[in-house]
Amino acid sequence: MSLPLRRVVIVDDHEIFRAGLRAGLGPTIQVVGEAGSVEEAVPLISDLEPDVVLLDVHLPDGGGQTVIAPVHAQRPAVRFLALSVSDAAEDVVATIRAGARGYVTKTISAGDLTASIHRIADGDAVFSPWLAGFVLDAFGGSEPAAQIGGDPELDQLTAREQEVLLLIARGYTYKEIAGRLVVSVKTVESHVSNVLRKLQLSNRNELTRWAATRRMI
Amino acid sequence: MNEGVGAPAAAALVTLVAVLLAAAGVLAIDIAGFAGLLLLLVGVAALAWGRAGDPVGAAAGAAAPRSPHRASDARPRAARGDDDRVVAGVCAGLGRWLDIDPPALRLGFAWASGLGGVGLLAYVALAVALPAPAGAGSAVPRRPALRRWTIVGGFALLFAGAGTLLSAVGLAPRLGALVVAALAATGAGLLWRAVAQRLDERETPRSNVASGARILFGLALLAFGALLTLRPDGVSSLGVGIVVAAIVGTAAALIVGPSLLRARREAEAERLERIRADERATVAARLHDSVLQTFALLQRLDDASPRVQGLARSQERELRAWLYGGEDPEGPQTLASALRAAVDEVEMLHSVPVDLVQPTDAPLDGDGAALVQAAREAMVNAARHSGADRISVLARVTPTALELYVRDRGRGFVLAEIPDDRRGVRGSIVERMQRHGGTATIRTAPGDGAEVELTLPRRAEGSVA
Repeated sequence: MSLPLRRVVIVDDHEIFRAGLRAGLGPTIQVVGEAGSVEEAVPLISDLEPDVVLLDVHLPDGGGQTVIAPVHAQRPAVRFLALSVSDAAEDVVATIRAGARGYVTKTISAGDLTASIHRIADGDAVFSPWLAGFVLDAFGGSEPAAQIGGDPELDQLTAREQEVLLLIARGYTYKEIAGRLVVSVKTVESHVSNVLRKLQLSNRNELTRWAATRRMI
Repeated sequence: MNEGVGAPAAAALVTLVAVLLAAAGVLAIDIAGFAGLLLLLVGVAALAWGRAGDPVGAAAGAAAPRSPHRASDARPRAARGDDDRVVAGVCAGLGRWLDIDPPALRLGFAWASGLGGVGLLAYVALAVALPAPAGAGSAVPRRPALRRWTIVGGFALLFAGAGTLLSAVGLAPRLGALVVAALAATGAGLLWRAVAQRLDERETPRSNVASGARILFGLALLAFGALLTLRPDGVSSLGVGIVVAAIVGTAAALIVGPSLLRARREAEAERLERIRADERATVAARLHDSVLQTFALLQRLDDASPRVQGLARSQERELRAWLYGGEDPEGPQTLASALRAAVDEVEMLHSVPVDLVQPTDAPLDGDGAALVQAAREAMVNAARHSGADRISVLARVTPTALELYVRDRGRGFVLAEIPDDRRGVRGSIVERMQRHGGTATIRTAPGDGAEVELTLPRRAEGSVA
């Protein structure tokens, strides 16, 4: 199948790591720019208007989430994929809630990263197994239904969404999940996008609380 | 006087009598004085007999009871002795505390008692003021009752003899001085005990009221003694004022001082703890920026050998657990740490990367350890036979169960066709889980990889973060 060329900006303060990321991305990904700080990143992204920004969760002058808000104010079409080596779950969740459409660890293989970039560019969500496992736990706990300002639709995962997350956490690809659940890949993608929306919009206390106590082990 | 005291002792006695008679002649004492001397003599004899049956170590002073304290290398707290005591254990305890032979102290008290009973009063005061022995259990047994009381009698005779002798030569102290001395000694004893207790941080704060009362009482006794001393010369209002001011000041210092000191020590400890936490955060940030990034990069390099990549993975995982997991390497194993150790081992032995996801940790019991063992076996199986280039592992802690998933995308197999000699799947995974009240499900098909699903119901215990 022929994939369209995707324009990408890498925001990471480690030059050597940017070089490592760039190296394996393949012919369908074009790295159009690189930045090492929030200060550099915001004007650069607004200027270049790439399809996808690979965003380190942790930058010397602030968390990754401080890049997303100002860019989205000007360029709502730019999509962000969060990336980190070992940051606290708190930072990962904060970056996603700020608007990133997915999260992967930096040890992801070049092929998987390329696929993730295309998926993000298409408007879908990307959950690493770790993020899926975390979200499953965070939403899994029982929560008092009558939470002030809470939206029951946003505060609960459907049984199907939980199934999908569990399979992602177990290392299944979207295609494998589709095969296992006998649905289309598009359906799996829409389940994951729904979970992402809940993760971004839910007022569940537990999300923040869990994020603050969980580490990426 | 047959055991332990033979001819040399008899000779010594004869010499002693001769010396005493000579002394009586020199001092030109009357019959009362001579009676005092005789009492002294009998007292010495009684003491000699009372101590004659002691073990060698005890006969040489308190060497034996002292040595356990030396061995434990801790200075004993001032307390009454127990195992080698004669009366209340004051001399035994003090001797151990001051590192002086108790018999020497006993003689000192006896001599002071001869001064009209000062030593006796001091002894009583100390017996009241010193805390009870910390704990029994010395190797030295107590003396038999008869010998013990002979020693007491010996000392009593010594006191009486010395007193009689001293009054005979006109050296008996005044009663007033005795009372003052007794009050002062008791007061000082109480103060000493209370202050020592307050300075001792192991004491719980609930003893504060008691020790405060003890300090006040001790000071009051001292003050009373001081006033009695001043009285004969006429108590001036200035003198009373000075004494009262001194007492109030000392009481305040003694009651508040130790608390202030302890508060300062605690503040200092807190400050050090904060500095350590800050340092740790700095180290974590620094390692995150350098070492962890390098480990991550190594794992992505195409030209790095699988062995190097495996090493980078396990090192990264270990460092991350230490930096962010707050894991205590010396602490008890948890589900997460045990599983991580198993994953590291499999990666090192088989050079296949394992993606481990475990959002929640839980305490590890015997069943949990078996679960980890079964998971390890599943990983080894996948690494050895599946041909997959990586293995995915998820550990979940739900309110009701521990769940472990080990998945590979290798060649898969037909479960029924596993030869019996391959104990791995049946014995180490399925049967092990059953033995521990759990279940193992294996989902596989040729060409479709394999997934081992392990479930262990949880007992009623909370998860740990």
